[in-house]
Amino acid sequence: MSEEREELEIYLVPRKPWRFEYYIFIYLIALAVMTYYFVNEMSEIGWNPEVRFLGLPYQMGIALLVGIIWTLSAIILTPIYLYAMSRRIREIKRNIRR
Amino acid sequence: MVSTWSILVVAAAAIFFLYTLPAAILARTRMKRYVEKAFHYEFYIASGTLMWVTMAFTYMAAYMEAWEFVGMPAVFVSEGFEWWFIEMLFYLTWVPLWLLVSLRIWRPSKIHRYVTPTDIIVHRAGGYEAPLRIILAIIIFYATILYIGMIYIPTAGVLTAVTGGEISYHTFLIIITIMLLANIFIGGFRAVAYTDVIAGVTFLIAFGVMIYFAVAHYGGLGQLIDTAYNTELAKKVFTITLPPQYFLTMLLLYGPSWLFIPHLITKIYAAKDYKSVVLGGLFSKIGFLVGAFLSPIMIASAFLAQYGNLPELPSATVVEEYPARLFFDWLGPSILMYIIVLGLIAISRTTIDAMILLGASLIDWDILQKALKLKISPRARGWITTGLILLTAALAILVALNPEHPMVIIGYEFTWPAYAVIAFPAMIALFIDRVNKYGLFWGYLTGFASLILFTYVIWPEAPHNPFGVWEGTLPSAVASIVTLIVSYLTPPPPKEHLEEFWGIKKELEIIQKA
Repeated sequence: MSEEREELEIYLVPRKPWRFEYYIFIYLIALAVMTYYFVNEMSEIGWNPEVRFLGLPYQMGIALLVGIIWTLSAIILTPIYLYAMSRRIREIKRNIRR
Repeated sequence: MVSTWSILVVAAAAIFFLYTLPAAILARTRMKRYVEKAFHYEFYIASGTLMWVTMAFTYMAAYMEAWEFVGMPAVFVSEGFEWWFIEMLFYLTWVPLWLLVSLRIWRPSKIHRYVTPTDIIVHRAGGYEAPLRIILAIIIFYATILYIGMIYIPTAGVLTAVTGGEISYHTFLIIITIMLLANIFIGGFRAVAYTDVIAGVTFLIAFGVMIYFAVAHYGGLGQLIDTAYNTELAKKVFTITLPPQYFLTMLLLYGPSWLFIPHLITKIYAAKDYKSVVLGGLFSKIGFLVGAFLSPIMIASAFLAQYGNLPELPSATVVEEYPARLFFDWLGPSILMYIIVLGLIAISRTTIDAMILLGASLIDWDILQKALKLKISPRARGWITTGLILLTAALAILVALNPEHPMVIIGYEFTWPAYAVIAFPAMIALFIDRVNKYGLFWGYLTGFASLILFTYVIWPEAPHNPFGVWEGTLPSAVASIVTLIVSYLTPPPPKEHLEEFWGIKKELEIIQKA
């Protein structure tokens, strides 16, 4: 990688959050509400093979849901960041060439 | 009399070391290019030159480690489902916030070539350098020693279990320590990262074998979980005893505190480019999925299904022996078991080596070089670094000598709260320009003082507060609030300092050119 490209990559990481990054905090509030609800449910239900969630005993079903949520958020956010950064670098590079 | 199988298990450590040796030697060869220019930056951070593939495996290694892989299933069974579940919860906040924070840590780290997590904090503070470095280095060092000790426990415990207790827990502690110290001495952080690639592949193969047997033995994942859930022991395991506020604070405070966890910070510094940070992050999540989610859910279920109706659990020196015992009972001394042993050795070294380097760097760089500004010759420098690495490893062994509690409990009680006290003021300073040296200094001082007071003096019983919230909640709240209040009551940091920290001048030059 050229030195110029390396510099661009370092200095073009925005120091303040991108607009889309603020939406993450709304998502976190939703997660907190979800956690509070499911934890209360788990405490009330206790060990009970009859109550099921996602086809599994309740607690295991909730754990699976949590795993699915953070896996999906990783899968969605990684390309978003790669795209946002590469677009920023591409635009600046194109303007420099002009 | 020691059986042939036990000797073979010890030999597996040597075999693993030998087939990862080329990675360490390659690291040493490459290291020579950089080490003369900046010894500490190369030895502890690999000169910030690691490409995304290496970063991916070194980040995966951070979660595919003994603490998660064998520690978590053991905790699931011995302490209850909820202690594993809170580990899953923290990831809900860590995952979406990871790139927001890590990219903002990476940028100044590349501009200023940071060596330790303390570097970025004291640089951003812009004052009180020596006292801040000393306070931070001591607290991170102490917490890190506890952390390494915690990982030693499942590491040695699991290998003891594979030999049926014939080779003692303490013998394996020594064997594993020697193996990973040799790797560190050959090529520093670069050797650790390169070895993580081979270790990662080894572990994934062993993981495949383990999961295949766990699931195939019971005819599918659903059947496995149902069998586990319908045992006598499951009634206790799946009872929730922690209050909802404990879960909530784990989600909202413990999770974000991991965004500035010291041994991951140095891995961010080591990344060559932003893609390495982003993809490294993605692979760390894959590592977590395998090591901390799939493994505990399946291995703990298999353990419950196998032993959950017995009057009492099989005896063990440390509960972390359980996962290995399970597979040994199924497979006996066989080739498949040997593959699992190699996988267990592979995960046993990951993270510990990076954390030993972190511990040594805190004393070496922050205290000796930067705070005390000692003039050390290049020859003496090498000896000091070697001595500090040995000291860090030895102190951590002391923690692991008498493993009275499951290691995870020790972590939740002090290590993670200490890391949280470090993390929050640092992250606030990264995103709020108004934070100044006074705020950070007093924030850290009161944060650490409150952590020690709450944990050891005022509320010595877990969770060290009367509100039923996570142990790190109050001290990190004190540190964050004091940082903000003192910063707003005192003059703002000079604009030139912030511009120098973020490299604004250069950024403007690039943008103006465009």
